[in-house]
Amino acid sequence: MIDFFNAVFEYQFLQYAVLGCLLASIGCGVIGSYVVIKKLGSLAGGIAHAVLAGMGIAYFFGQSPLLGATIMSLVSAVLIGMINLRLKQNEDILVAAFWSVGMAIGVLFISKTPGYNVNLMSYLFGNILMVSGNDLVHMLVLDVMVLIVVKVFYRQLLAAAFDEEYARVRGVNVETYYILMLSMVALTVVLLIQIVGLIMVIALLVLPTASVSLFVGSLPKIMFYSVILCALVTISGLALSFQPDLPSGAMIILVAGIVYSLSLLIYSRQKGKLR
Amino acid sequence: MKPVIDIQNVSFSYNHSPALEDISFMVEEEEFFGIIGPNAGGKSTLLKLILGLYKPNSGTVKVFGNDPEKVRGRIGYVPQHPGFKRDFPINVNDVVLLGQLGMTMSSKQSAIHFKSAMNAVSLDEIANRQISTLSGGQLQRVMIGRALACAPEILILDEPTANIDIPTEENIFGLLKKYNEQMTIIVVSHDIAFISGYVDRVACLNQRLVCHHTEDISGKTIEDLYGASMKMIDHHH
Repeated sequence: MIDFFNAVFEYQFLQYAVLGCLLASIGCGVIGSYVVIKKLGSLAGGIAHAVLAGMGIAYFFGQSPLLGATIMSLVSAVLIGMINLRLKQNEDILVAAFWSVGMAIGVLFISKTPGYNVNLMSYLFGNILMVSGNDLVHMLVLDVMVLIVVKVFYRQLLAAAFDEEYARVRGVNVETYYILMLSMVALTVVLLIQIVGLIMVIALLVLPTASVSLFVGSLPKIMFYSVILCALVTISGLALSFQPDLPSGAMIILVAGIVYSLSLLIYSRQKGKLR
Repeated sequence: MKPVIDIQNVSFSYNHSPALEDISFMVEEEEFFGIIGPNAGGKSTLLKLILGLYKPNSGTVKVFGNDPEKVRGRIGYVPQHPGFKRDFPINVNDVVLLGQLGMTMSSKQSAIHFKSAMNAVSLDEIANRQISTLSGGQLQRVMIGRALACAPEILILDEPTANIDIPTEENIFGLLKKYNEQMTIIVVSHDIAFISGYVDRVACLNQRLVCHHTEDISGKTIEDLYGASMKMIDHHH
């Protein structure tokens, strides 16, 4: 661990990596809170995997994969949202379809892209050590967008998440805010792909928040502590992976899983005492 | 007195099973209007039509002379069942505040209405409690507080006393009677004995609708409605 912190002062790529973790934690904690309280985990999973299609297409045409991912994530969020609102009972089938068809399209395009694809693995499993200055700017822009939307529409999003029927009675267009919420989830997924890759995104999106929400009882507080916990999880995962040269994304997810397990354990003990 | 709610020849069905047939009635300003009837008689459906949550298959629903969606900011609503999950991380204070969404008044005004809503149903001492820790009666008070927070001109309550004990029940109706001086109140209940002591007029709903002034309720009407003889309670106003 000490080696890691010494190295951070020495190497720019590690400074970028730590900065990337912090930037990702902001979106992760804030939007993760909505995902957990509104139970959007599987939809978020569908969007995350569908994003590979956007990356593959962008890669094939020589464009920025991250831009492709951003566009594809929004397209799939809006599509999943619209179809889900109209055919309510088919949510898991919808998720399965977007999940695998999106990946299939991505794989096809990538296979037809000339050259050796080192990057594919880093999209799938993440590689925070390869984050560039440009990527950091991209992440910052995504964070700012997410925060502005949450700040401006906080009450409407809360009302729609809390009690759909009553929100409607109060004139909130619940459907629009549902799509907006999924779009925010989509942008956050892109943010996190940098860190842990699209396959493991869901865990990072839900586990820190799920841990926090066991102990904290209001949405703003859950958001705040989730951002902090998310930063702790990503940076400690990165630090633990550094010396033994392990994949950082996998290490981060492992730490998130351990934190959640411990939280559940503590929570069940607390509950046991109350009885 | 002008009608605030005007319902003409309204029919509504869920996937071909009719819930309401050819309903017509008006509710006047500051009236205390009761709707009674058997379970699945269409009471909640009728309220949702007034709130603009459902659209009638035929006929018209006008509230303040307008389409319900356009004016529902002026209606307070207490649903029969909470539309939220009890484990949602939110406290009483914030739930009542959400009742003020969509209001067009100054923040000073909203603060006054918020305060009086919290007071009216004695929510001050539980303002910071998580909703997951509340009893059924407390939760009911929270939902009434949420409905009052927007200073509604019409207050609609769906079985407001279904989950609470008798003293609280009397409290709630006493409170409504007081609020009735400023607003029109529509209350749905299956509890005919209780409701007829407070309301001005009762509509009996079982797909079709018959209106009565409270003093006219007879054993015969109730028998027709429920299809079996029931114990009659006499009221003299």
